[in-house]
Amino acid sequence: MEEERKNNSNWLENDKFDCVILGTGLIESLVAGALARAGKSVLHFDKKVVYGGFESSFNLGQLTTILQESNTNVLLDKKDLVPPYFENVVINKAVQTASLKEEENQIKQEETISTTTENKEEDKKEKVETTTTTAATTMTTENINNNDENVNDNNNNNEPEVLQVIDVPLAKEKTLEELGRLFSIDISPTLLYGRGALVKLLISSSASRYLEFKSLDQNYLFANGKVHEIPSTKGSIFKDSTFSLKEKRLIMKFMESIRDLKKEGSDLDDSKKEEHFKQSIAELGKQYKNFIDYIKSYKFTELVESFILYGLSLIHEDLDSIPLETGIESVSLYTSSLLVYGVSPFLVPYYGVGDIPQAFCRLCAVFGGSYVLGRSVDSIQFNQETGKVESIICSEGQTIKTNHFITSPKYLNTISSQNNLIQPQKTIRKTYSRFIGIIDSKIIGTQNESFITIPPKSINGKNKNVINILQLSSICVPYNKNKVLVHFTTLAESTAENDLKECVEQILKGKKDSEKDSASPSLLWSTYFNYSVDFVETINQEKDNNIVVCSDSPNGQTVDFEYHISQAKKIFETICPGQIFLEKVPDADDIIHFEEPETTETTTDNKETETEQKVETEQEQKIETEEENEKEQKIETEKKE
Amino acid sequence: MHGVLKVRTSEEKAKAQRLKELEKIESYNKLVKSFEELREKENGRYNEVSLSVSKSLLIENPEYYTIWNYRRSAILQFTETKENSELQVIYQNEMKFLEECIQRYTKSYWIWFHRQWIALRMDQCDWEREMKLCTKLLNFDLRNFHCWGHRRFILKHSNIKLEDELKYTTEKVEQNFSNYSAWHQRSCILPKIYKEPEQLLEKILEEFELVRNAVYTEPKDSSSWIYHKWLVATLKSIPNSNHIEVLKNELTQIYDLIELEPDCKWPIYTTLLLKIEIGGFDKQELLETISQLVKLDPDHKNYYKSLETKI
Amino acid sequence: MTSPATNKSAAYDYLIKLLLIGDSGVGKSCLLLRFSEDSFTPSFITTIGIDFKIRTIELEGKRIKLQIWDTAGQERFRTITTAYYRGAMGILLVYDVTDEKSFGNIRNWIRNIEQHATDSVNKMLIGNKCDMAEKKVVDSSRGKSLADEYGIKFLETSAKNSINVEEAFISLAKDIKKRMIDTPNEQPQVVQPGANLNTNNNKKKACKFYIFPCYLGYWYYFCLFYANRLISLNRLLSWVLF
Repeated sequence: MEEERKNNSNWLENDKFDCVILGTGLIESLVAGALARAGKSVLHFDKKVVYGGFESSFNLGQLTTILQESNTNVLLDKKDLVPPYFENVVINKAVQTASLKEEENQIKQEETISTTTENKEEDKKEKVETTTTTAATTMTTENINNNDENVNDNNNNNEPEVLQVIDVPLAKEKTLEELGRLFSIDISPTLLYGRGALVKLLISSSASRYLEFKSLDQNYLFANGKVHEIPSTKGSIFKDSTFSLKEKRLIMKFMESIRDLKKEGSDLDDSKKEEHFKQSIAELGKQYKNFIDYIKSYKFTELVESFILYGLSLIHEDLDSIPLETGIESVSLYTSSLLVYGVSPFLVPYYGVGDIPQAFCRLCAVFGGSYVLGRSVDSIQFNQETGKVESIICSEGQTIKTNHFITSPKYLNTISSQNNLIQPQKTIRKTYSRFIGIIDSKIIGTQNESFITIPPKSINGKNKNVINILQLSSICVPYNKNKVLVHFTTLAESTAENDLKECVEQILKGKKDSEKDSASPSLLWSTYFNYSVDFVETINQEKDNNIVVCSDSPNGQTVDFEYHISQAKKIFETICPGQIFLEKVPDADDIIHFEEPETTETTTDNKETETEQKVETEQEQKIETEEENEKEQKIETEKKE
Repeated sequence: MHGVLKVRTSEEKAKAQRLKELEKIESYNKLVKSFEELREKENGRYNEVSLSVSKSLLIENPEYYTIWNYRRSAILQFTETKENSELQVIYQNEMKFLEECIQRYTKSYWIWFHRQWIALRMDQCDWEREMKLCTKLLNFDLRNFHCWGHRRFILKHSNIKLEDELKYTTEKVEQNFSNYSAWHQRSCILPKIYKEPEQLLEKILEEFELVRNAVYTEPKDSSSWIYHKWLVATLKSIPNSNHIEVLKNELTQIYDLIELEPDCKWPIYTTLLLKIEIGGFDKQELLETISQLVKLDPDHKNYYKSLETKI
Repeated sequence: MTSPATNKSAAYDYLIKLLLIGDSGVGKSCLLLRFSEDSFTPSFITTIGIDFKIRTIELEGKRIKLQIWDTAGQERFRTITTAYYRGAMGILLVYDVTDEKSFGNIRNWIRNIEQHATDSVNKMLIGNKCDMAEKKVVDSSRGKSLADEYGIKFLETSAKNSINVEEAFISLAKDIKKRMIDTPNEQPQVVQPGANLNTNNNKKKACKFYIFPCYLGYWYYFCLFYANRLISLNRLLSWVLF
């Protein structure tokens, strides 16, 4: 496909678009969808061959390749750095012991199941071959060596076949490499609130039809060395024996008061609700300095305070100075999202975050947007008089006229321009530390899809920032193969390994409460890496050259995509002032696809217009034939004459 | 303009919808007519056609209870004319059909009644499956009292253990204790399981704990308080239960709750009832409580006033 | 996942998602519109707004709602999103019998599908525009042998003259139904915000419908009918107001 793309010399017949967007991260994709819906012609590029930028998802093979590439010298030349990009990458080859065991077991199974020695040898040869054909990483080559050793050993210990009845599925257990395609691993895993900004936007824009989600099973707080379920619904608080009766009442009271502040569930107008909220905040603001003050006024125990701060409000940066309004908004979002799509207020994208920008790209395409991957913009040309963008020159050399150009700071810095009209953007940089691991069973004490918050100073008193853990064990992983995906995220203090290693070890070891708890999971594959994002403080308006710069947009620690959506809206507003952002798409049944020849007030039924058209064409034909006949007659009469 | 859709207007849509509805109404009326003609023709002698025509009518409108009666008459006639094996097949088909109807209309008296009628006539009704059906429907609507009633019906006629049912109610209560039906089910089952007075007493004390958690979590929820009332009444009925002590303990616990929630009527109301039960309280005090209740809950003023006679 | 309808008054038993894949201009949108609306236009303008189309058919007594997705033009530069393939149960690979290149690209599309769709997805090869006999360059036998190579069914169709279009979709649907209904799926419950808004509407419709035959004879049972639905006080109130 790559070659095809490049060989397509006439690859863009149209060379004029209203807007050109470079980069398919979520913000850019939202803008693309909105512009197309508003009637603009959009050309959307990405230098990478996959959609999503920071919001992409990869399978195991792809991720490994990308991570390894980032370690090579190619990308040290910063000029070519485009998102997502990693630093301090460590990939763990601790795979071997685990997969060795797997393969030993497999070979033993094959021995006892198959009947002839010939078959055995063939089977083993097959196994060796399959491992060579998969992704060529150092891991697999070493596996093959070990595999050969095993083969020799088993041949020597050849025992006569005793067909035992074994409780084993006859299908071979697949290696991690073979299953790699079935993983969907996010660079920046993110949860959505059931009543959060993105879900609301998905519903109002009809883009929800392109996406599927799963309700998170449970979110937890890590305290006193183990994970605690965060109870939030009436039912879970009722059941939870960690709280005394009085605490139960206080927690409920706290949540009720917040609901009351926002007048949830009442019939008031949205604007009236906002007014009431503002007034109440103003009043509360007189009593309490900030959000933590407000929580402390309830005199909760330390554990309950932690629950609220880290479990319910889920603001994970600048904890000491969370403004009252922000904190309350956050808890309110949490409580209003409860029981909407499930007990938990959170939704997890079923196939990974990567599908979300794709959904908006598709929306853009449905409304006429053109999509090109694996190409970039080399330079921008400006109109001499107005100073506005006139055209861009893409990496294949073609000039494309456009009125607006939207991209992120990193891309912009790699593009040359005439007259140096592009100035370096003012950005704030944030760096995150990440750990991704594939383990063979769930973290002790957790359910399938779980989210764990680790407050500062909880890992042997050392972690300065909050650490978030997302565990996925029934989605984004191969179905029913005992492979669990875990993501650790934190704001970076140093390299990812330094920031997270202790945490990983402690969490995976876990604390066994009772006999019921399963054994600690073992690590099958893992990686540590850092990535940085550049946030744009204000949308570039001053120079009025119609280049709009949007931030790199990963989420890091926070949940949901409110920032992205507000950025996208602002960008949209500069290009299409006053128009609706992502207006709802009408029902498929109500859309009329074919133009009628003249406007009819009565019918819009397609069939009727077709018959009308048929009738018309028949009439036309009749007239034509009549004319022809007349002509012939005329000619004949002329001839006669 | 580029990228703008042509869409049907709402008038066009409304018109199209009306036409569809009128069609539906016409076809339904035709069905009714054909059924009435058939009934006249048959004159009390039912056959397969009766079942199939009535079925198609019921698919459109399962609430038309006359048709259910008609089917029952037909089946009654068949019990005399047909073999048992055939009858069982008819019953199986009825059950299947009823299931489809129930999924669309979960709260129809006629459907549930018919189901129970058939279940009793079957040689071997799969009670487990019945329970599963109820469980499934209750997942959609916790308070569907038809389902709960059906569960009681099943318990009466089958060997399903009451303990399992108790576990189920515990599950449902934990899920959402604003579920009067689940509490009520508990109140029906508990005395049947724990027949010995000591056992029952022990269990009631546990239940008090459970309810206390519920009322502390949500004091405004009436279902937990009503269950509490039942617990008090049951406690009284157990001989040698030392109920006064227990009630006094309850009273103290609820006082704590009133401290946290002074404006909620239920704890105050319950303390009033408890005081009346325990006896020996100052009449003036009780009258004050009543006036407090009247202030908090003026809708039920007359009811509170009527309690004065009990003091 | 063949999702059995969980809303009680749904108008279908199963929902099957189908995809159309193939080069630009082979006639995917036309096949889609022919099947779903029985309409056709000869003009080549890529119409705006064709996302997917729905048509409910009956197969062996079950109502099957077919949700058929179009590529939205993203096949032009081979930039179809991976999300497009999610949950697809059947894929129609379409080429144009008058365009050799589109036939040659079928292998590439199959490779694409193997990368992104589930392993068990049902596929079908479609040679469209078979009405243009004079301009045909891809012989039926070549189409058949390519299909045989991959072990999939093959049909030549004409969206213009409505040849084999029904057969293609229905045959694919049948194969999918057989495969999926016989192997129950236990994957975790999917949530789609905004998708279940229809359940309430259906319920209301059911109520409204029975108001119409409300001459006196039925008035009695109509009231009883409504009484059934009034469990909690709230609903009673709304009925009174209604």
